[in-house]
Amino acid sequence: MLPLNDVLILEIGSSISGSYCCKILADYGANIVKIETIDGDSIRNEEPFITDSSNDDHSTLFLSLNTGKKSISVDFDNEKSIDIIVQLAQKADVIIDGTTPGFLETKGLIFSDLLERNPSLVITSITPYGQSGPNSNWEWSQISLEAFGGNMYVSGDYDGEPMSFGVPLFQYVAGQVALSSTMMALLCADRIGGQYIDVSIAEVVTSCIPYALQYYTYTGAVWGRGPKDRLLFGVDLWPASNGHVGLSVIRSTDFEEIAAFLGVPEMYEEKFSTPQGREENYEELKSLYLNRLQEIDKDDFFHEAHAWRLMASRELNPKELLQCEQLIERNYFTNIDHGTLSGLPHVSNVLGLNTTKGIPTEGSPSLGQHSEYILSTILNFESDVIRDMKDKGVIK
Amino acid sequence: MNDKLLPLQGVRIIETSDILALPMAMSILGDMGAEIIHVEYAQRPNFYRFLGPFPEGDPGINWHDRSGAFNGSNRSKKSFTLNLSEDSGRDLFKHLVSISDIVAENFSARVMTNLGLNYEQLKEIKPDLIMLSNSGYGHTGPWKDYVGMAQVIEAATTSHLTGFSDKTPSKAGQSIMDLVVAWNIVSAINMALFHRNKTGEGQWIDHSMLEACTPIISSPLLDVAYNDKYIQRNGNRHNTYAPQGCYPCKGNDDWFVLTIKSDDEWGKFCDLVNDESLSANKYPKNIDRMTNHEEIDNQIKNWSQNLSKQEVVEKLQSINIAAAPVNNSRDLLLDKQYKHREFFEQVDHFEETNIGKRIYSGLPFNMSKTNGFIQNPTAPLGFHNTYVLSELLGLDEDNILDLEDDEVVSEYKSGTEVQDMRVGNMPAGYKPASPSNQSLIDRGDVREDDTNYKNIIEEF
Repeated sequence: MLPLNDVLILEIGSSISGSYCCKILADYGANIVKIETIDGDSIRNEEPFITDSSNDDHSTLFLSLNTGKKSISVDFDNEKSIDIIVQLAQKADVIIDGTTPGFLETKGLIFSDLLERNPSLVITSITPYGQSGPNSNWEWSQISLEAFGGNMYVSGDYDGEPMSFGVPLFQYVAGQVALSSTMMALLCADRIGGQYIDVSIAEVVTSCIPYALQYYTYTGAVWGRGPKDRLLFGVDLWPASNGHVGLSVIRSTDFEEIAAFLGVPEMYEEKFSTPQGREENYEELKSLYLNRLQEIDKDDFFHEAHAWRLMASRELNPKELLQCEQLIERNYFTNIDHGTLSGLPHVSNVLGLNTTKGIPTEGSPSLGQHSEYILSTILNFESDVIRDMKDKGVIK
Repeated sequence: MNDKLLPLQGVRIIETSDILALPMAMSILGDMGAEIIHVEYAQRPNFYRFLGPFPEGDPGINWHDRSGAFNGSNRSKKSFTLNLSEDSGRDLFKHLVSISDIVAENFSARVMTNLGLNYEQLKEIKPDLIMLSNSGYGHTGPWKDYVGMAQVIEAATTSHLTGFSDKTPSKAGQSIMDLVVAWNIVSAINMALFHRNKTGEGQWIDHSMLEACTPIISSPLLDVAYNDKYIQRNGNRHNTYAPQGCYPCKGNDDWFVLTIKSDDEWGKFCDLVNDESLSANKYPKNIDRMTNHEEIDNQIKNWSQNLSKQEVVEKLQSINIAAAPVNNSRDLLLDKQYKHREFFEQVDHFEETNIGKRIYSGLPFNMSKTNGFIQNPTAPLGFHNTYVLSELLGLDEDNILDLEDDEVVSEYKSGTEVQDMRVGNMPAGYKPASPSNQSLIDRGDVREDDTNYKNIIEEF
């Protein structure tokens, strides 16, 4: 028995955050009806692809975000399709909406009407800037939200341009925020009924830089990208013989430990013994450290540093992470077939629950794969009605 | 707003934690109505209490209550000081657990077991307990004793894919993975609560930071599993659209970003810029813009560097192109969108901390019926000892005095030794360092020392 076994959730819109939120909800047992347009979730067309034996392309992003969901494809410009969504919303516990503000309204789906028809319904919308305010209709991209929200200003080199993540990290965080807030609304739905939740991705970005914000409101310092000389033993990575590694000095005794661990006698010299001394002799220490790292294997470095109880980082590329012994030992990756594609590794039990583990069991659906099933089992439509809708292009 | 309307009203959580991820998660749950009792040992307070920034750069005598890093991630909680290395301290902890719903901790795997306070042990006193243990890699497996902090988890997941193509794998932002972990913890706790409310069954949450953050690269993971390839880091550029980038504007360290998503948008952009080199629209096709990205970047830069970032973004948004200013902390506090949505919250701190008013990020979502908000500013260390001991645990005054005498429960005393995890045991009267803004500018961490910040807070 999983926590969400009898919870029915509708997912609408093409968004990483909405899809990630519903993927986790599906892992923990929810019944997810993914309502797609006739052309389908646009993420289906996003590179890179995996090509199956029939030469069909499948987006890796789509495959990773939609395990365990049921897909129904409807024509959003057809009144009958909108009526299907309204009927589904009457039976549903939750709607996760990743469409831009106003889109569903123009199609005749008014949230206040849906909430009136189903007073315990929880509707969670995730949008770039939120439902209201002067920017609510701004055009956006991953990078524009990272810039607006303030994360880029504090990312990158001192003398370089602000830098963004190479992956859509904040879309995932927004998905987690939607998941958290939706769960809290479900927790109190018995007491106070359903409600509407408005998640802003830009605000999600800003809530991820508390240190820079507090620096300003406590001292007036505008935190930027620094320091000029990247700390040798801070949070950055440096090149070892076969990849990048890092060591962090937290305790004042850590530096001595690091010198011993690295086996560089020159690092014991008096001039390096204090943080100030290490700052003043930065270049010399840097060359000692980097020369030594050249001889070191990053994997040996990582494991041996932990034996010394040092805070060690090691860069992993996606291939190495997939082979990570710790994740494998904890059964973090579950292999799932997707049509003729077999054994695709999917993340599992992401929330870490030990009794009710959320593990995906079904692959991501093809477009409209469950249209008939959803209409017949949830809305009790007769098969000739469904056939007629298919013929008229109301559903696919 | 009526507190009774908050979703987690009536849920009590005992927290023993440090650094950022778990404390932040607990503050979020506190904002949503849970009662968070943050247990600390007074002579070895949380690391973030030492970190600053301190108000106006001054740690003061009661510096442990004045650190911005700590106060930003410990609001909406009650503070209770307890010495868990004493038997009587552990008994009080267990008593507290027996009248609570959830325990959340981030000690190493051994510590809670050695204290007799692991899940199996606590379940004996509270059968439907939910307990969350947060660690770098989880409490089982070959790395169960490895320590992990935000930058370590980032290196293992997103760093390889982040940064400029000719540079090293990069960390972006500040301890970002702690925030990813915080939200994952909030989700996990709510999921376990939902299950408990339905079935009466509690459980242990063996929460791994690495497992919380790995989903962010699940698409590259599938790519490599099946195609044996993955996207390469490429700075601010997009994998399929061009141009996308970050460009300088007029002003001190002012920038904007844009993404052109179609040939049509590019045409509109060229018309807008109306620069000789661009109006010719030399590269009407995306594929050609991808291969001549650098040339285009230079042209955009020539255009933008004479305009303010607000001007540029206004012009681009008016023709529906995805553009945004690169906002710094001050820009964010003054932003009209955030003001409209009342995203930031101004908080007046406890008088004895002498912090006054400061501004914090609120929750990044609004709820139509049960909107969360900062319930109380970060409480002074041990502020709620009396509440916990007498109201929750029902101890009388004599009991409490005995506990104080035995230093099982005590407030932080500046006249005694204190342990700063960075430098070890420090003598009475110790104050953590507080670098001046000028020294931070010299180092390059800080761009500007804005002496007007207090007015901005005051007028907020």
